[in-house]
Amino acid sequence: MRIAIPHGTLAASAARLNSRFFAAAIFLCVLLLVGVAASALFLRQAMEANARQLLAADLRLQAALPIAPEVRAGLLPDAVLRFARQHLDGAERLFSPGLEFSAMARVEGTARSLLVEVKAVAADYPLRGRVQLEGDITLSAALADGVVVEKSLLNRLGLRVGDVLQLGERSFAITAALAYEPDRITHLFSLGPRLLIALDRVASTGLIQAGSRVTQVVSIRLGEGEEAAALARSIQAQAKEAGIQTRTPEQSQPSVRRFIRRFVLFLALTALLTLLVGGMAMTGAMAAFLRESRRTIAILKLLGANTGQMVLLVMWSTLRMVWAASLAAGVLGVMLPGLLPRLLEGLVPAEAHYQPSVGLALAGSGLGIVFSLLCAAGPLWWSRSITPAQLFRSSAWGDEREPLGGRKGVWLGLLLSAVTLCAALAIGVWSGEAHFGLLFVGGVVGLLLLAWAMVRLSLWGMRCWRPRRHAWQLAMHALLRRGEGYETVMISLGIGLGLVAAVLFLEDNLNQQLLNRMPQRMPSYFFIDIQPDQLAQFQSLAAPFVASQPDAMRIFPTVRGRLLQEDQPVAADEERPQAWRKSREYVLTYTDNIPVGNRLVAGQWWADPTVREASVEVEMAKGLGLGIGDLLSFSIQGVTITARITSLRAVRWSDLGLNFFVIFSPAVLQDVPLSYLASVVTSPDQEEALLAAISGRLHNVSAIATRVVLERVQGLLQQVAQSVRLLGGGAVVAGLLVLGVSVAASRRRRAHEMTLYRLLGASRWEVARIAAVEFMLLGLLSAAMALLIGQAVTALAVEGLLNDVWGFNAGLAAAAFVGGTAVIALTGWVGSYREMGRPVMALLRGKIS
Amino acid sequence: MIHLDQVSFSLIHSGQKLSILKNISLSVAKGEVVGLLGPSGSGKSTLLALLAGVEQATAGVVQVNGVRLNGLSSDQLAHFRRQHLGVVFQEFHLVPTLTAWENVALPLDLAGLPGSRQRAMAMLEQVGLAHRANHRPTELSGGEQQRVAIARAFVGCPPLILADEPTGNLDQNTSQHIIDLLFSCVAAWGSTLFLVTHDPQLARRADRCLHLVDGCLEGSQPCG
Ligand SMILES: Nc1ncnc2c1ncn2[C@@H]1O[C@H](COP(=O)(O)OP(=O)(O)OP(=O)(O)O)[C@@H](O)[C@H]1O
Ligand SMILES: [Mg+2]
Repeated sequence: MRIAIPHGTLAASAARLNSRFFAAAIFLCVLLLVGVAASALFLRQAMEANARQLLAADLRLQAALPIAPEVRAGLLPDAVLRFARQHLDGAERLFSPGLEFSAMARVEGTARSLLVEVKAVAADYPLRGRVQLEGDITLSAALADGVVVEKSLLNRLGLRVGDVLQLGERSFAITAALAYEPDRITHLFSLGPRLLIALDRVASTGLIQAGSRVTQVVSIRLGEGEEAAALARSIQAQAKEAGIQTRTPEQSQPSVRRFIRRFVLFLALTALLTLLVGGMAMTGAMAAFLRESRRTIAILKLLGANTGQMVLLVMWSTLRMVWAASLAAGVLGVMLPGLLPRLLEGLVPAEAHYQPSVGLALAGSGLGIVFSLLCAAGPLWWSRSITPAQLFRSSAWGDEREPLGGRKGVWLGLLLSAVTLCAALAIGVWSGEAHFGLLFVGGVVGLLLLAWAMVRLSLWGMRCWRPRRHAWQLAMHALLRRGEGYETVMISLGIGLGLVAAVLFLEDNLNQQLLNRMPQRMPSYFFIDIQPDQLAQFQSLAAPFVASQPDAMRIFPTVRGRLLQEDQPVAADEERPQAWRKSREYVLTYTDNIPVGNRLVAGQWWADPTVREASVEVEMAKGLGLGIGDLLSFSIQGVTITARITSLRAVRWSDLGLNFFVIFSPAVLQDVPLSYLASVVTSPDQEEALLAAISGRLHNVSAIATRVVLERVQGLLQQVAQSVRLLGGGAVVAGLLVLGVSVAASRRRRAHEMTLYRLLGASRWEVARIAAVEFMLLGLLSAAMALLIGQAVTALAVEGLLNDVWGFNAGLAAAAFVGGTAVIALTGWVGSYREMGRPVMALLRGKIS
Repeated sequence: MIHLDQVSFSLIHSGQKLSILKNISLSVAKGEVVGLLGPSGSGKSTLLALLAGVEQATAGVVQVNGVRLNGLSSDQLAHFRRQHLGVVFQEFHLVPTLTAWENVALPLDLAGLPGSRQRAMAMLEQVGLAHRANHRPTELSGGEQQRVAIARAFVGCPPLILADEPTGNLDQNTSQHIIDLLFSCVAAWGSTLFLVTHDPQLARRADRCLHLVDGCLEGSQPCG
């Protein structure tokens, strides 16, 4: 159909403000959605493009198997290498053996030492990708003369390239600093900086002892046209039998992938929340826009415009409003990952190069335009009620109801929620996290219901409240009269602010939990790999530093064992750690008494240490389908040990103390070669001295500083929190847009009201105060709702997901409350400031109608 | 041209039935100029709205230029207005965002007729506003706006013109000009004119006058 009506027909100056709100809302929504999508694509591309590099090979076999004493001198990953030769031998295949373990690096003659992640590599490492060193030196040259370390190690130990470093019993020259290591991101958390050393030199350090935690690695380069995945599948059964894990590029870093997937999903869902609130703003703005244009619409209808022409006209007007904003937001959105590199720092290899995608920008803009048209559809439908008959009645134009008042707002909320929730669910299913998506959908539905109920309740409460102050009375009347329209405003603001509040509270809770508790309850260090003959020395060395509190030093005999379950098919599901992997390695221990921080939930603790019994952590037991009376078997260095489960324990993990999934009675591990694991609590100023004392004498003992681990966890959380805060900010802005729309829509009526007050003798100051009180009430209600939402989300997350006690920070809550109220009140008040100063004569002359 | 047969119009307002027009029957021949007089609130504008097909009679038959308006859909009524009708209001009702010529061209554009711009300009020439063609309504005086509105009403050569107190917002002098213009246009196009007015002088120029009192037609009387 031809639309010959000039496109600007529906753009009365009065309506222009609404079209700006509309454009601003779509800009915000598209920007956030495209930004998140671009980040997700970037992460995925970086992962895929670098997958082969990230493994530094085509296929990788690894196992934390003990090194047999007879080959310890050669220090080859004998078991894994033997397995590879046996099952994978081929003319074109290259095997590159390696070892990975942690150890203490020390500076001779000083007390400085640091836990490092050692990677011992053969001469042909890496088989894929390249190692980049700082300065003009090749890897083989660097490893021939010494070791290569990450720069952070140099900074933290105060060393430079060329200096000497102690590792175990030997000293090595640092020949180069590591700039990029292809297979660096194998874990999200690393305990220390990387150190590369030639495989044939490891033996001389004396670090590899019985029971040492060493991962044997064999990297494999395949021949032309060979498929890593198929090969891995063909040896799967034998590998499992031997306790060896296979890794193809596609399944490298499952934990990193999972984290990134969840992270992106979380961002996407948060962005959808903004879309929900933004959609409310847009529909409100469009409804107000059409209402401002209703006389024109009536005239067009009178002159013979039919439904099709009206639809086209409104759609055209919508397009005119949004195309530029959508396009700009799309372009800016795809540039976001490049503009905000900090958000993705550490998640993508430093090498990965971001390339904005034109297609994504256009798709995002297109989606924004479609969404705008969708948001225009409701108001267009409502505009059916504008009839030319009103042209015959001069008084019919005074109608100034809220654009989203009453049932319209409810319907709109339902519709938009349905759209958003379907999208959320679709995204969840699509990214393989349907469970997460469902959780989110449930959460949002709950949130909306909660918000709606609270708005209703507070409006009802206000109706019953009779303030004595005059200004408050008038303001409340104004608020109640506009109450219908303010419902959507309050819900939008409540959700937006609530999201930000939740992030704040959650972050605060985690900080409190992780860092502030540390000095009193958490060990400063875990010392691992203490040999039986070193135990006495260790105790005497540590004794002067141990804090004077019960259990400040705890020592457990430990051994690694692989869980055996003959009767059930073994499903090693790398992608889902919570589906307890059944060939997983566990750290096993024995004790006489139940350790502190553990609580029996079923069965009895053993009374007789000579009986073979086991106690299992309750969540693990649930995951594995184990119960009291079942037999539990582990393979420890090739020997199978078995015990009957006689108790289940609940463990408070958040204390970060020494805790074990499986504890045996002393009889079970009697003849097993053990090493000792110790946790020590010391005062912060003693930490360095303790570390120096131990690592100076017991070279093979590694110390893990809890503070370092926690700082890493915290850094990662902060990264997530930062992104969510950014998106939450978007949701708040969307909420403020809804407020803006409402204020703009009631502008004329407000002007009328205020001028009338002044005609009746109120001063300008008093009028301004009435408006201030009105918006403050609105702000108070919305902020209170946000606070409740924020606290509810936090409590659920902390208690439900982290299994911890949720803490309320009154100061932070008060700050969030005051801040939220202030932002809302100021926005509303400033938005209606112009209406307070209209000349009184304007009212008398009928210029304000 | 116009046939009303026992037409009533009522509204339900807060549960109460409001009878606004009661059993109105009338006929107007083609080319006739009919004046409609009556006190404020008697239902004059409502009667025009029925003739324009923007309100539906609650009883009786409304037929305009051979088209029976009862029961037509809103799109059919829009189509009817395009072809048969021009309306002039007391408040002009021009689209504020469009220029004078665009306002005049609007009915032709909506009907999808070609050459709307030339015809609109020619029409503005007729009402003596060719030099203000690119001005917006806010930049025009009341009289000028009403002339634009008249140009818009006549641009599609409709057989029926409805006018609701076209001079109500204008001073004596301007009113006279507008009325002259209106009548000369009606004469030139041979249109039928149905004119609501309070002005006895204006009423006197009609072929006949109808009196509406309290929603009832008091029968044809000599005008003035
Ligand atoms: N939509 C409506 N809702 C309620 N009452 C209406 C509506 N439309 C018309 N009326 C009532 O119908 C009656 C007739 O109105 P109408 O506008 O036709 O009178 P009028 O004769 O044109 O008056 P005036 O000379 O003042 O223009 C009035 O009492 C008016 O209040
Ligand atoms: Mg009238």
